[in-house]
Parts: sequence; structure tokens; C-alpha cells
Amino acid sequence: MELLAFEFIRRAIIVGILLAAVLPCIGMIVVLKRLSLVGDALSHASLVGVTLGILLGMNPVIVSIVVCVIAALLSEVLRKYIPNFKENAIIIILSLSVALSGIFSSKIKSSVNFTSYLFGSIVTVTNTDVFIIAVLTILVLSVFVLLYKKLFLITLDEKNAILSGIPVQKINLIFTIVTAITIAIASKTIGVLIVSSLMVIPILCAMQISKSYFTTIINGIIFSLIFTITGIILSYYLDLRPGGTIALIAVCSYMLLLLKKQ
Amino acid sequence: MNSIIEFKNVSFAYDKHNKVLHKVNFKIYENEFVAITGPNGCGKSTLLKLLLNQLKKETGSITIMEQEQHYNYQVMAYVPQNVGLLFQNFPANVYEVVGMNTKKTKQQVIEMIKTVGLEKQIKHRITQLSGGQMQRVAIAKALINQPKILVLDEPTTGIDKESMVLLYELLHQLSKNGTTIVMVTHDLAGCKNYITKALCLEDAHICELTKETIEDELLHKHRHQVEEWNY
Ligand SMILES: Nc1ncnc2c1ncn2[C@@H]1O[C@H](COP(=O)(O)OP(=O)(O)OP(=O)(O)O)[C@@H](O)[C@H]1O
Ligand SMILES: [Mg+2]
Repeated sequence: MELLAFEFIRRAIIVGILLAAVLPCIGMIVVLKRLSLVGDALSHASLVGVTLGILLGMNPVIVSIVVCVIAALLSEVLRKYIPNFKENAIIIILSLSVALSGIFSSKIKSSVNFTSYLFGSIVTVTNTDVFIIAVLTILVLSVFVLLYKKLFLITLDEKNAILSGIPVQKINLIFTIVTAITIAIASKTIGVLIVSSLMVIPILCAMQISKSYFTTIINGIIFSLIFTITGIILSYYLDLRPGGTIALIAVCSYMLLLLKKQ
Repeated sequence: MNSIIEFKNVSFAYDKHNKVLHKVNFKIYENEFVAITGPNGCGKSTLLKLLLNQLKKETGSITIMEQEQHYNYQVMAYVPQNVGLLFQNFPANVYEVVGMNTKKTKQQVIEMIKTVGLEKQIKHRITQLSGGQMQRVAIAKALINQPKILVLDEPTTGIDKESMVLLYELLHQLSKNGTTIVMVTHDLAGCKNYITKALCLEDAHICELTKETIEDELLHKHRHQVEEWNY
């Protein structure tokens, strides 16, 4: 493991492990609510934040957190107005984000490397990034553990959850905000185009083999850890982009699982 | 005797021209097992939604255990129409679905699952159950907190005769033990021996059928249908 001698690889692996633990927790709820595309919409919204941040000369990550939260809340509102076509709300956010990030980026004079945002730059993370992501991990995991039962009941049957006295709207709001923050932060390291797949695909894999809700989450995290770590190692030896490699491994594994099931 | 549920002059319309309920009155008492019937689109599900506070009535009053629109999970539980649709793709097992809804002990949850006859399937994923078994999971989930009132919307659609009888017997037993049952159904003929009364909804009005009048109603309906077929 001469690989681990490099500081940047060690940091990449730490960040990879943290995100791999966090993203499937969010992904589980998102998949079960049939809002799998929300990850894509919000990661594109984070790109709007990044471009806007650079334009205004502010910290791109902070601006993208703000933009992501606004986009997430906006999609909730839109969903209320078009209740029978939930996915259309997401497409609207996605289109709006692509449009705005396109416009903002055309105004930026400096030679910022956008591909690093699109496909991630997990091997260039700084110590500050590691710290931010560690805090995020603790936040998301504690919200997820604290709301475990309630989120289960809401995703299974929202109307009955309301009847049982669960504060459904409040919990949905908390969950939406946590999702937005996670995606904004994960987008920077793992890549705008890849964050959504790492959120959803490990859970889809886990659903193929698990016998319960709890084991689906645990297996989802295990899958996600395997994808991330092998992705980082392979990308180092084959000189590939880590984000893309991770996503490719995830998709291939899912295909193999599907084939095995047939 | 005090009623558990009372509708007093309740009116409701989705739009101005079509009244779904017009000054509807009825009372349901403790230990009753009530069937609500009526043709498609007459407003049965709407009536349940009003009862469950998912829709707001226009006029009149709805009281539950002497209180106006006061609910918590120990008072009322609900088994929705199309349970299969809700359970579709949800990767949880039977124990989790029933146990997640309660602070009861593991043993009590297992007891509840036995009551609905699913002890063999306790570790099975709900997606792998049959329609009737899913229905029973939803009933166990609703009953685990011992609600005073159990509301079911067409629980027998897509269920074979045998499971239907088992379900009616279970509901009958529950009603004798103190749970008031309100069930929307198209199967008045099948459940008539188990229920205490039927509420028949038609043209925005309700008429109450006792055990004696149900037979007449069924016969009348039958004759009506035969006449229609003959023309
Ligand atoms: N969300 C809605 N908006 C407008 N009208 C509605 C709505 N839901 C139901 N209706 C109308 O109200 C009437 C009663 O509908 P409801 O769903 O209560 O019928 P139902 O008795 O449950 O029928 P079924 O036996 O088919 O389940 C119908 O005429 C229907 O067209
Ligand atoms: Mg109905």
C-alpha cells in the first residue's frame, strides 16, 4: 500500500469514506419517495452557487449551500402546485440550474477549471474540506438516526404518518435542507455529475440483496464504501478521474447484480 | 348511550355544482362494526377523508369521542385503499412495518403479527407478500397502538373468499373487544353477518340499514340489476 504514503491520497480516502457513509442515508429516503432525480437537480443547483460565488468573489461552497437550499425549497413548493407530476418539479429545477450556471459561467473572466467541479476533485481536497465534510457527516448521520423511525413511517405512508401525529411537514423540511447541504458539499469533492449516482446506486444495489429496511441501509453504505475506495485506488493506478471511476464501478456493479438476479 | 363518531348536518362539495354530501347525519357507537356502501363515485372515500381530517367539511359538525376534530394515534387508525401500491418496492420486512409504528415491546409486536396470522412471514419483505397478506400487515400496523376506531377503505378488493371471511371474523372479534370498526365496502352480501349496521350513501344522502333491512336492500338491488340487464 505504497499509495497511502501520499498525503493527498490519504485525504481523498478519508473524504471518500465519510461521503460514502452519508450519501446512501439520504439516497434511501430519496429513492423511496421516488424522487431519485432530486440529487441531479440539486447538484446542478450547486453549480449555480459555485459560478455565482466566483462572480461575486465569495466562497463558492458557502454560496452553493445557500443556492442548493433555496432550490430544494423551491422544488418542494413546485411539487405542491403540480402534485400529480412530482418529477416535473425536479425537471424545472434542473433546467433552471443548467440555464443559470451557463449564463453565470459565461460572465466569468478568470480561467477557473469547471471540469473539476463537474467531475469532482477528490484528490485535491484541503484540510479545511476534510474538516467541513467531517462536520457534515456527523450532522447528517445524527439527523438520520434521530429521525429514523419517523422518516420510515413518512416514506411508507405519509397520510397515516400525519394521522399518527408525526410532524410530517417539519420533518420533510429538515430532511430537504439536510439533503441540499449534503449535495452542495459533496458536489465540490465528488463532482456535480457524480454525486447523484453515488447517492442512489448503492441503495439500488442494496435493495437487490437485502431482506429488511435496516440491512438495505447498511448494505447501501457498504456498497458505497467499496465503490469509493476501489474507485480512488483504480483511478490512481490507471490515471483516471476518481469521480468518474467511482460512478462507473457503481453502475457496472448494479448491472451485474441485475443480471445475477435474472 | 354516547356515540363514538357523530356526523351532524355535514355537507361537502369539491366544486359548487356537485354536492358530494348534503346534510349527512349518522351516529356510530362503541363496539360497532359499520359498513359504508354505495355506488362508485357516491362519496364513500370522501366521507372517510372528512372523518380522518384529510379534507375540511363545509358545514355541520364531526365529533369523535365527544370532541370536535381531536385526534391522536391512539384514537383512530387507518388502513388505506390500495395497500399494495404503498408497499410496492418498499424494502422493509413485516416486523419492521408493524414495529416501527409503536413504542410497544418486541414481544407485543410479535403477538400482534400472530393475531393477523403472519407469524411465518415475520422476516419476509413486504413486497414479497400476496395482496391479502399485505392487507393484513397494514391492519396489524394500524392496530398495534390499540386505537379506539379502525377505519378501512375497501379492504377486500382483490382478496379471495377465504381470506375475506378471515378478515371479517378478525374485525368482528375486534369490535366485540372494544374497537369500533368503520369499513367502506362493495361487498355488503359478504359481510352482512358480521356487521352491526350499514350506512348506504347515494345522491349525497345517507340511509341507515339495520341487519333486518339489509336483506331487503340486497334483494331490491338484485332485482334492479336483473331488470337493467333485461333491457
Ligand atoms: N379530488 C377531487 N376533486 C374533485 N372531485 C372529486 C375529487 N375526488 C373525488 N371527487 C368526486 O367526488 C365524488 C365522490 O368521490 P369518492 O372518491 O368519494 O367516491 P367513492 O364512493 O369512494 O367511489 P369508489 O367506490 O369508486 O371508490 C365523485 O363524483 C368524484 O368524481
Ligand atoms: Mg373510494
